Amino acid sequence: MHPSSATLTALHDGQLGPGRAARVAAHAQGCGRCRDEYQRIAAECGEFRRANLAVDRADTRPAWERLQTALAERGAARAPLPAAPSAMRDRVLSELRGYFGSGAASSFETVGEQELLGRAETLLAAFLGQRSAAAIIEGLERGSGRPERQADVF
Amino acid sequence: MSAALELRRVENTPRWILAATGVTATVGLLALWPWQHGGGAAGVYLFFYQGAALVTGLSSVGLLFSLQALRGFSPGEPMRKAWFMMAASSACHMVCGFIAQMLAIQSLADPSAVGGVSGPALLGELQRRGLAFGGPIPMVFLAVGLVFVLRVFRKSGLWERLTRWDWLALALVGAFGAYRLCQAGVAILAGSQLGVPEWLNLASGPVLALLVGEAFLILRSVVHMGRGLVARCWAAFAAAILLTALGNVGMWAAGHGSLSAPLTGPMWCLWFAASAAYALGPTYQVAAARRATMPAGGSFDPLSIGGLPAGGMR
Repeated sequence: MHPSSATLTALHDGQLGPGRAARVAAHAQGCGRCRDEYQRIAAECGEFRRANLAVDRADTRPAWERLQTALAERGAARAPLPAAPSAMRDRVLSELRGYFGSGAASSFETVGEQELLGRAETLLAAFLGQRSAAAIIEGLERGSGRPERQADVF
Repeated sequence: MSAALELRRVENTPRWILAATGVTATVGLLALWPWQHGGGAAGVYLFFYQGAALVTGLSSVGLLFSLQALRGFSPGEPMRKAWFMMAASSACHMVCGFIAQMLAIQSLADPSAVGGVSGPALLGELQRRGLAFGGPIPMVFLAVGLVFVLRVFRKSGLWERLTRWDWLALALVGAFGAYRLCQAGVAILAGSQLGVPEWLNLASGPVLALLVGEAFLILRSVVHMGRGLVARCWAAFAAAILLTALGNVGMWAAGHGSLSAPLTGPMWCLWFAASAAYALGPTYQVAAARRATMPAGGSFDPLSIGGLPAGGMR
């Protein structure tokens, strides 16, 4: 079973535990598909960092002012903010509620968006096995409706 | 069989387990009624026959699902060791339960069916050995398995501490085990010879105390977790252990004449409930694993998930 993109991203960002990181890294070294995926993730992260640096060095004041104006207009119109990041969070929490319960899921509410998937996968893998955890995470990444619909009725 | 149908089958198993246990206990208690009020012993045979069939059947279900749960983990994963121990415990339960319950009762009804040895004598011996080996040995496997489980709980941040009441209950179970050991010590000093079954039976006291401690730790953690399938799985194991402890105390009380006749039937039914809870644990685990690996978009009725809600044991 190949590790998911979320796991490889977590490995790249140093968010996996030492044991799990060693296992995933060992697999990625021996598996062409995962090595390629890891290199793609590493390249994208590098580009992202370079882009951020470029923005930091540039004079961002005009852009910042434009952003503030846009936000003020949005606030005045009471338009909802984009829901994409919180939709993923909701799906992850819903899935955790289904498998573990609302108490366990609530402890993930304060976890940052970036490390949420990695930590959820670690917990799922501990109790359900890596194969099941990988399947759940892949479902979440695809954004399938399956987890949300079922979890509430547990 | 499609993934959805397979999932539905697995998810319906807890409901079937609870239904079978409820029906067996009700019919058994009704059958015991005439005997408890001075009637014939036919009802007792019925109670034990169907009870033995239920306990052996539930042990088989527990073993089957424990093996399926075991297959869900790759070598090296901590829970694999835990489920290996659970499967070993279920296997011991099944074999010893079969010897103690089915063969013993068969010998009472038809001695020729088990080698032509005298029914009552063989009954006593088989039950003694079956219960002795069926007591502490599966308990040891279970206790070791739960150590692995508790480690995972701790590493995952789901660990909760015991309350004052938990410690009190644990002290009572420990005192009960110590009392039985003292009784055995007195008997040995008085010149009694204890065989292997008696020693094994005595060993079940400390192991049970350890298991009750583990059960309380798990129960505290799952109460905090909520009602997810994984929480239900471990809540079922914790409930099974606590019911076993209660059953042991009940058997001891019955053996010392401290249990009134109307309470005997319900006390025996505790073993049915314990067996059901032991079988429910792996069933919930397999249901969770099946749900995880079911292809997205598959249709099934989520309301079909039966069984004991973890919240019910709070």
